[in-house]
Amino acid sequence: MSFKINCAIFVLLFSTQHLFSQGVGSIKGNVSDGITGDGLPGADITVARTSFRKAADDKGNFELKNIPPGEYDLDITTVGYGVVHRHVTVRAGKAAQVFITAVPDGKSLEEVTVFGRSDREKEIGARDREKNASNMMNVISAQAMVRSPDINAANVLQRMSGVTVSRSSGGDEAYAVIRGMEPRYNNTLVNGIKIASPDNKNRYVQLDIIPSDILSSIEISKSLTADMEGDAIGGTVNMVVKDAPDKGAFKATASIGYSQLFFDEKFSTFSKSDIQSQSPNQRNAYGHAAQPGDFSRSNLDFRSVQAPPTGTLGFSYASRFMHNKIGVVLADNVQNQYYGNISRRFTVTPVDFASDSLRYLDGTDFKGYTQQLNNGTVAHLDYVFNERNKVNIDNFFVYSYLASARHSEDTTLVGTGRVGPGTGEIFPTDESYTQRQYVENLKVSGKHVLLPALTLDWAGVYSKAQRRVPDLADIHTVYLIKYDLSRTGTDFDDITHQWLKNDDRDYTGIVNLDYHKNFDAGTLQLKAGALYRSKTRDNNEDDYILRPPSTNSNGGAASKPAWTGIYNASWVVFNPSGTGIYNKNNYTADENVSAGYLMSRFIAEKWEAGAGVRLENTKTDWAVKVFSPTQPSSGNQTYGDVMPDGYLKYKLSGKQALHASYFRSISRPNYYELVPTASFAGDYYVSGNAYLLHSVADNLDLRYELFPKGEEHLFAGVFYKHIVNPIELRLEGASDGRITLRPDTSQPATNYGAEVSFTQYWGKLGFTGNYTYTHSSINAFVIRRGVAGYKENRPMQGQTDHIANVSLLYKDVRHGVFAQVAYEYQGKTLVNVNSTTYDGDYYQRPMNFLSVSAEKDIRKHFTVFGKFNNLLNTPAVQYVQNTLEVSRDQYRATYLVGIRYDVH
Amino acid sequence: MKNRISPVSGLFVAITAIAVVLGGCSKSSNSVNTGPVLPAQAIRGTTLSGGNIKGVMLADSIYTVNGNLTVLPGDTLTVQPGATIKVNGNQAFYVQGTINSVGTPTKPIVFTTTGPAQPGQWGGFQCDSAKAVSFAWTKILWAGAGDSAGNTRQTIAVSVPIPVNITDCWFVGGQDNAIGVYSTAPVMILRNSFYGNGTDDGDCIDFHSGVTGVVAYNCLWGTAGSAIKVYTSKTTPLANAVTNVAVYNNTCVESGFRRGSKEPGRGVLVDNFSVAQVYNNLLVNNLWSLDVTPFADFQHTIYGYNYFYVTVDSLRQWMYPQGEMGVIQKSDIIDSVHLGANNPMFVGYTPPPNPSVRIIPTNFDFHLAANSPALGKGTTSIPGISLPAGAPALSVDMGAYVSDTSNGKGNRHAPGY
Repeated sequence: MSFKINCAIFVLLFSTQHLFSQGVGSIKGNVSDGITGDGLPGADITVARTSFRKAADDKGNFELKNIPPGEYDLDITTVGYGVVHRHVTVRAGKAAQVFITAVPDGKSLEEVTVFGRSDREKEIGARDREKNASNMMNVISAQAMVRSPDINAANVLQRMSGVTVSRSSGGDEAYAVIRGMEPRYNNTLVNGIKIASPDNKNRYVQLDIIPSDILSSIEISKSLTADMEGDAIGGTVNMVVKDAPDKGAFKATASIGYSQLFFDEKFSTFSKSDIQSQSPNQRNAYGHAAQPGDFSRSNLDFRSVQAPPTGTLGFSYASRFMHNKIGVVLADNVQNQYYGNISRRFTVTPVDFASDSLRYLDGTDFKGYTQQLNNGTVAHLDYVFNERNKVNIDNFFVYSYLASARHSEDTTLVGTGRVGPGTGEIFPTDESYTQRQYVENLKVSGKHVLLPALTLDWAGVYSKAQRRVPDLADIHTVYLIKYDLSRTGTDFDDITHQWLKNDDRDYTGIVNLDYHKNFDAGTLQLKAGALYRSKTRDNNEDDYILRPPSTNSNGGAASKPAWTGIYNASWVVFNPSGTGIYNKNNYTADENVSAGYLMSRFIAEKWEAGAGVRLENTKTDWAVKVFSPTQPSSGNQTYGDVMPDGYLKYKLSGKQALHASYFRSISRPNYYELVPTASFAGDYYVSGNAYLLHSVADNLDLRYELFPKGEEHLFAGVFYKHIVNPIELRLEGASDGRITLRPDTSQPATNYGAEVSFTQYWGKLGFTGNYTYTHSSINAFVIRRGVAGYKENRPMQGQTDHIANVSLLYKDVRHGVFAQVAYEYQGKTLVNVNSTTYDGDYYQRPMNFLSVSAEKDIRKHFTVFGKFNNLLNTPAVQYVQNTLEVSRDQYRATYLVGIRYDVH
Repeated sequence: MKNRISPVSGLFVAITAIAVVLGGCSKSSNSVNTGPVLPAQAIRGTTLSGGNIKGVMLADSIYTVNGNLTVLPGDTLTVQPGATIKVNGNQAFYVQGTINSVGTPTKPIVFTTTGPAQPGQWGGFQCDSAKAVSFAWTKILWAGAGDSAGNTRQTIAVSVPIPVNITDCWFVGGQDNAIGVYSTAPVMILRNSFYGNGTDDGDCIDFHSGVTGVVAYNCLWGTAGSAIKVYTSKTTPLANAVTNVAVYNNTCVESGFRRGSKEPGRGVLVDNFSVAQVYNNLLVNNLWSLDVTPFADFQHTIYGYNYFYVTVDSLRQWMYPQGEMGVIQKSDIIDSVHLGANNPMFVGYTPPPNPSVRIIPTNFDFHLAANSPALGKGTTSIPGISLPAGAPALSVDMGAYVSDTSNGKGNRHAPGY
């Protein structure tokens, strides 16, 4: 099989020279980008005034043989680069060496036809996207992702300007925080279109389950235009998957790695063979009363083993057939990772009634051991009817499997017999957790040039996401450390089993019309379009509690039995019918969004301006099965927004511009947040809020943009956001004695800041980085003794004050060496708001991360690489009131080495 | 060819103008529906299938309840003396309005199960948003079965700041707490008998948040956790007032064994920001007897004249648990050196505690024998405290069963239930 099907085909035309003459020489060399140093595959080398001609290979190397001795002029032409001329002298029997660097054209590579486009996979293409976009973007290409220390989208994003990644405490789900705006204010797209989420709480897909190897770029839009979905206040994360290039390619990669944690200690695991995929009530006839034997034991038998190595395997194949009419891309990447964390967490409570200072309430030691298997598959098929019509089918599929053993020991530090450090009641919990998530996104789209100046594009998308958590099981036990530090035996408290499932399905239809007209003064673009999306979500949970049997029957009551292991335990099912019928997590939600927009843009030589308006109407219905006839059982929410935007770009020169923008955007409440069913959480109720309003924000941006050459860039900007009806969790109803923690709309918040990012090369050394300052401000209710309705002014949840990323790059194209040392600084972050306690908010200490990646070409097409992360073993530490440490998570370093095969 | 800008750029200007003129505007509306509201049942029918209920359950009638019953806000359910209500399966009363279950000494009201006489058979009274809760001379047996989330339920649960009056009632064999009050409610919990409550956890009386009032003349035997727990929510202590109650003349016997020694229960526990006045209580063979923790407001908690008796050697050191803030008072009758000292001479009692026995033995009678050393040893006043209106005075005798039963003093129940 040839992978050069679509390479510009050049035939060596032999002149009348003798083919194997002794008296000939050759010209060997390499063509590379003068700025990035990357080889330029397909560069066309012609020997002037002769018929000698050759195309450079995938690394930019070429060799012209059988050249008669003499003086020659070489013309080197590469698409997107200026023509280079070089004079060489060829001597008989010798190879003349030439190393040619080409400089990119000043001309932009704007998408002018249906098919032409800049190469998104390369950093140069990324700069090009940023430069030509009418909104403010930061783009990272596949080329940079492959070379980075990262293997999934979440970690890649963490290095991008103004982005941090929030991981819910104890969980593995990762979502982007953009410019200090927590995940609810951002949206996640694949190929520009929102996709269904497997998460039972969040609207968006978790970023840690998406292998970065199936992406061709990630684009973060920090300002919106009317043709983009309007529900992003912080920004939009758009993951662009592999697309068929103009020429064929085959890539494969494999790697193996290990976590330092498992050099230091064993990995805890359990058998998955007996896990029941359905709960007793789901797999039996209606009315079945669950029996003790309905629950498996082996998934609660924890064993310590040496952790297997982490491995990744992937390939991508792209080609065009039938005279380039059909394009095909197939890419798959599997990542099987083993990782863990060692954590200690505390909750806090006021010392007494008079002062605002806090002390520990209870503490938990926590260890988690996780296997995560992610598989990402991309399939693309396109058919080019003719120069004016093209149809695409894209399928994006992610499967993620998680198996986690979690062990915790919880101590109540207040009350119940604690007389000093190390004494009191200890509540160990051992949990086995397995989860399967599927995300599928099937898109059929087309682009049609109706008139030379008028283009129509359309897309129909089916998106489906599922999450299955079969038999999430916990063993609860208890023991006591007495005042004299002697320890009692362990008693069996109970065992819980839960079956959770979530289904999310979207149908989306999109149509856009795009009209161009050229004038002397510039180009006018008019665009109009519409979107309709219908979503349904179904969330189900079935819970069972198993209790020691001797305590549940008349006359047989005794103390709790001693815990002597899962195979010795006997129990009764306390709630044989489960909670499948009445459970506040059994909710359904439907949402219909219809949107339309008009926008216009004028591009002149020195300036560029655009304005648009987008209308979005949303109707969300929810329903929940309730136990009490007077509890809310269903409801809906409708709202409509008119969202104007405008931008102005003033080109100071061909390479630099001033870019200003305004846009209005919204943020929708999460579905479950509307469901008002309350459950009692020990000290207060937790519920949703059927009267929650959506958030609306006005956003202003100003940015200076400089694109000196190649991958280099410099952005410096400021932003300001005013958010009406921000949503925060709040404790309410303290006055009537019943206290409820629920999401609510707060007073308007503001968020402003500044951002700088840059890439600079000096020969083989490069330097890239970014810095973001964020300052958000919100007045929020906090319970403070003696002050009714007390409000504090604080940042919005998720805000980090200073974020900096700096990478030192070393690139030696001739020897095929690339190395990167990446440093990341994440400043003080407000991770959790504590509305129950004055001055009790949880802040994360500033963190420093160091990662290293390196690669070296070893043979033609083969590259070995290594990725080494968290080399400083940076713990995530949270504290309250500047001094009281409430949480410490340690993950340890990870190491990965691999090999890559790459043919164009 | 040269184009002139005019016609199309007009459109550009127009769209820009639309964007500017419309500016931003947002509208929003939310709606909420509730489930079907069933008509209130007429209570002539003695088989109740569930739904909403109001009116009067008639004297001496036997009702069978086959579904959850809700007393709507604004409605009142009154139960007349002598009525017996049998609840089938895991059904409960949801009280959002008012419940009055007032029996008489000769005609007590009985709430029980249609099933076997064992703990956790039905759901109890979930008064999370009630307007008023009154129980008198009512037997509430075998409640506490799980809720929709599978958690055990308290026999009577109150989470709103309403008056809670529970007098002369029997609580037998509840799965979890017998009475849980999770709000700033004023309470009068007087002269009740609690037998065998809490299966492997649960207290007889659990105050969680800002409760005020009186707990007196109750007899509490065989509780899984603590007999009387005085507590203020640890996460919301600043939202509500702290719990502040007078606990006097209660007889607490054999508390805390079923929850086990790893999570010891107490006769009387004062914890977490709370204040209490603890006097004249008779504390017999509890796992831990009287505990004022370092996290209670111990500086304002006062106690004395309590009577301690243990018959098991390992319980001696836990009468006032070591390391806690509660210490022996001069007025206490306590001997932590000599095992079996200060036998209060119950009319019927066979030590030692046997946690396997959940049903109170028929020979147990915690009335004091005529020669009891606990007679006449109590105090009749709490220093610096005047009791709220309606609270009976302290007795000169220790415990719930006293010789002078005038003016609301003394538990009037015969042994058993």
